[in-house]
Amino acid sequence: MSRIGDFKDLFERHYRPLCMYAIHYLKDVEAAEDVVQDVFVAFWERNADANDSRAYLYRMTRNKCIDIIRKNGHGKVQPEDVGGDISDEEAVNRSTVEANLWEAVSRLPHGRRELLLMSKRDGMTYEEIANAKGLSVNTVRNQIARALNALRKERDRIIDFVLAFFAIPTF
Amino acid sequence: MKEIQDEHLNFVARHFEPGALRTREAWRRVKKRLTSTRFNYGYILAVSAVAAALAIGVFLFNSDSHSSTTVSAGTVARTVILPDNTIAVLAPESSVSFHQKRFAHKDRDVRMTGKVYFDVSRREYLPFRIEASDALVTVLGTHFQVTVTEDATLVDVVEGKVSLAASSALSEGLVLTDEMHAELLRGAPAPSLVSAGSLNPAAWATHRFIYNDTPLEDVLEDLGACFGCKLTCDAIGRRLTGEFRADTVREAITVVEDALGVKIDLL
Repeated sequence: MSRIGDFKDLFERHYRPLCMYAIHYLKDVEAAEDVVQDVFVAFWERNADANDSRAYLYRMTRNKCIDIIRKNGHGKVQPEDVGGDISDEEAVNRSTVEANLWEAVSRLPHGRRELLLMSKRDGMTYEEIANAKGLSVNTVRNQIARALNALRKERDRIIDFVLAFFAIPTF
Repeated sequence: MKEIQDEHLNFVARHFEPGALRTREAWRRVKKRLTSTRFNYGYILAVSAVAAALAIGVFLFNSDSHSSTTVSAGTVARTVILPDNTIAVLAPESSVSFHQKRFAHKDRDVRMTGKVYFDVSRREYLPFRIEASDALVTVLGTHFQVTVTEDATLVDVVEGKVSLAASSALSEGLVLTDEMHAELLRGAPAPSLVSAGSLNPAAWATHRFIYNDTPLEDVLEDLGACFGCKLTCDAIGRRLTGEFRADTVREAITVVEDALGVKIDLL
């Protein structure tokens, strides 16, 4: 039992949700991973109090993302716009749901997943996908529907956050 | 309505990359960057210290409703994340309670009823302790399940290390590690090791199944028990070794059929 053991556990629980959170700001998965890894290293070095670790990690992640957005001079896009109108609690909840969904997507059968991504990620129509893969439009539609059903079931799995009443993380 | 609800789903699908967000790899990278001098803070808590310190007949906290928070599951299982990042999966009609102010700060003591699967987050110096009827379960970071019935408190450890004792006990508790099972009969002074009630007792919460040279008939019985159905197969003398995840009985059937090249019937 050691500090590194606790830290590893913290990392394993929060890494993906924090990456999802950062992707909302940076729109880039690789950049998000870099930021979150930097945040964990900084957290370790600051020897921060474990009790507020979740709030701390999210706050640091958001700050780093905002710095990057400002530095890249996206001009008209202000970091406040990117954050959206959600509360901090909702951000943590959302990140956890999204991390679970990412895991669920990675568990989809390869073929079905590819069709889903061609539709949702690449913006292809069912006809375009059918042509590209040599399948009927119906098959494409069915496969994507099945993928979406599996993902919706995962999303609807009820996960509650039970927060201690008095702890109001200051983000 | 569906569009709003699909927002998270669409976001994930838009950005998904198969090789990305690999937690283990990321951990390896981060670990390399940590200042090496800080590793060697080894505080080794002897297991006996863990067990002995807590197997004393004290109720962990008053059931003063003003200061304790209770989470319960109704007719459907419910997953909750406690303030210390521990994940608790409550079977229907089960509950978990803890002290509002102290939990995750001064202690990690909870009281539970029913059946709860725990994935306890690691926290140095703050052992996770569960009062389960008249049993005391002590944990430092692990995956396990506690069931409280009228007759006994049962503990199934999936992975990690757990100590089980009667709250009235004056001696060390029984230490359980991976895939061990024990029960404390109501009123008994000490727990005893038992064989598992089923091969994968926590599968209802984890959706993970592990078989080790298990006869197919036993695999089907185990899956049937978990999913509440009956599975049969004509093949004889087959055995299964492996670990897989399945959220539905059909998924499980597919895995076993593919692995063994057999045909399974769902009744």
